[in-house]
Amino acid sequence: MGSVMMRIVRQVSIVLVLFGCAARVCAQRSVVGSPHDLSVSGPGNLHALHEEQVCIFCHAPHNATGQKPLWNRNMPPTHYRIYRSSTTDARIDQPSGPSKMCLSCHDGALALGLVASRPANEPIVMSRRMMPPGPADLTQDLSDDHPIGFRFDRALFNRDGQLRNPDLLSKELPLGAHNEVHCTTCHDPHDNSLGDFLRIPDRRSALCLSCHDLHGWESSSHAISPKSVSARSVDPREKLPYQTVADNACTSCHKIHSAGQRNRLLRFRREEDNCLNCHNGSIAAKNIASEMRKPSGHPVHRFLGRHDPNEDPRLVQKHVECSDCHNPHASRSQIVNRVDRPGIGQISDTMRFVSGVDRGGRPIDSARFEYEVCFKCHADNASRQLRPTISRQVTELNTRLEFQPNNPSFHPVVAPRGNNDVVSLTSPWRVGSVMRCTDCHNSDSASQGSVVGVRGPHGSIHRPLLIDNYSTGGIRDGKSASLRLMLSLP
Amino acid sequence: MKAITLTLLVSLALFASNRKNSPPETTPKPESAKKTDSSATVYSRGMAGSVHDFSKQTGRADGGCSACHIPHVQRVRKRPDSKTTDAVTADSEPAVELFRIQGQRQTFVPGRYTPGPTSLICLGCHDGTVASSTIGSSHAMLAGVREGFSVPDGFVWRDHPIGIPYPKNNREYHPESFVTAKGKIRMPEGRMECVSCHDPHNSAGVDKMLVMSNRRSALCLTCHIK
Repeated sequence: MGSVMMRIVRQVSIVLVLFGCAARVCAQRSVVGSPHDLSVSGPGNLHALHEEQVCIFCHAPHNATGQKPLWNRNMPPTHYRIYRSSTTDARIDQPSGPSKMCLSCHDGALALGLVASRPANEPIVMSRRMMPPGPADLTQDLSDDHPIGFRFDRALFNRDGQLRNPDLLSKELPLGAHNEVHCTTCHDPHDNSLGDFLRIPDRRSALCLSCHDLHGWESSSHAISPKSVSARSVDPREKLPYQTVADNACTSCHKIHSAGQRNRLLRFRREEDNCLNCHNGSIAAKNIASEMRKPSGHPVHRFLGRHDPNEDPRLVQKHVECSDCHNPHASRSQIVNRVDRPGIGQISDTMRFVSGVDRGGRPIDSARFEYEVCFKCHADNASRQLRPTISRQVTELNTRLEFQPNNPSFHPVVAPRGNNDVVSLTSPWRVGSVMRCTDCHNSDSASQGSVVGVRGPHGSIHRPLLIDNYSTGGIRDGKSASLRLMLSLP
Repeated sequence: MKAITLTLLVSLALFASNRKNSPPETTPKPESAKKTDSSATVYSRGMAGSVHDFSKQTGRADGGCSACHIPHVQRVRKRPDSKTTDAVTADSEPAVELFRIQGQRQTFVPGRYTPGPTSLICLGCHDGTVASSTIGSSHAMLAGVREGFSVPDGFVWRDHPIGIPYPKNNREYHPESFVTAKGKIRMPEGRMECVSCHDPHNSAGVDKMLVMSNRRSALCLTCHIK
């Protein structure tokens, strides 16, 4: 009986699979009927009024421009504003070859009906003369679009470190004659069966990840999160293509064309919006946006366009952004939050692959200890305007130096202490324990010891960004000095 | 009274049926305006009256055939590189050699394409050097490539290649058997020539003497998988 059922199930599944394949094959794979069909019977609002040929808008059998493949539009003489970024290792040039052909319409500057095979005074009469404003109009400013016209070769692969080997690039994604990336690397102008004329499906950003290889991405929360993205919850201006965070992958935060923030092609111009639009309780589990509104914290909303992933933390001007402490390509949620306490100060999983400054003051690419991330700003950087909150015998405003193990006395953040005379330590703290900055500087909601509260030094109601109320006058009544009591919580 | 109601009813019914038969008032006008079928455009079939009707120029009673054909010449030129031995010998086979203009070179664009004998006949007129009036027109396809005329510097081929073998086992193209199955598109000796797309005798009666209508680029897409 069971075997019969199994057989039926198997047959049904085979039929379903076959049906799926058939549907895939039947999907629109021709330029005819696609948005690039500008003939009189083409779909959409943009079409010719009389012209019945489909190919003629781009190709002509006679009297074409002479450029392969029988190209029928004159190349725009435009000098485009091109993509620039401090983190790219590619040498980006003005668009050329097939990219320029695409831009002959998609820069919105040339009349659509103006083709080389017809006299200039008798262009094809179109329903709209020019490319209407919208996502298809890339404009002559290409600095907010993914770069094209650079060579994706072995040399770039060796320089960059976060790209894949171009020799192993799928044959479905063709590069130009000199390995340049063109519009046609990702788009097939004749086949819209996948939408957006993409060459391969972009589910889980398979298209992006064909070239990009980001440290820690595969296991990051953003790559595997099954959280649902409802209609326009992420970006009110654009509906994301897929249902979950994992399926949208790169496109959750990045826009490949007409990005809000140019240098990193981010969806929104303000850096924190790219994070807090999800991390405000709507999609992500923890509401970080409300933390940021607390009186003491890291005020990411106060700075715009100042953070640069390539910056030298010792010299950079004072600022803070989410990505100063988090790498959204590698970050993953810390499931077990405090069990490792008292640990050895190792960095949290939410801060994987974040740059830092080690205890010797040297910048490092990937911090191993939490304090190394804090030291990026709270150590040798001179742009902070500092005034001591408490007058001390020795005034030292460089937190890195304050924690040096050769100081007469220090909290064991960068190294354990061997002072056996500390009798007041409460379990689990003991001589030799190592602390983290966030043991004291943390959200007030983390002090409750529960795993639901938001953790991390985003914001707190206790100044200066303390996990609990700290008043030196309260020790006598037994209630306060709760900071110390908190530290004894398991 | 009865009669009045009857007539009223009848007229109502008539009105209703009229409404049904008449086209709906909300005709999608742009749609109907869009759908201008090429078959509606008047192009008479056949040679008479077509742009290839040279009867006036030749002044002969043969309807201008002699502009391209001469009777009783059974001479078939083959491509110099052709490997086929049995040449097609039809009565109406054009006498290529006679109508190739003296000095016309075999190779039009060095190293690229060698138009076949049938295309050479077309190019005998359509190379844009026959008359100055043709320059800039559809005749001016290969201007300046005839012997005696120097090929201009940076000469670019602005036309679909001819004389090239039809691609085999290429997923960008339909198989040749499929393309030639209907008998409209011809591939002389397996090569793409002028007559692959154009019928100089205008038997289809389509604009630009095409072998079939290119509505929705159907002619292009017979070969190209796009």
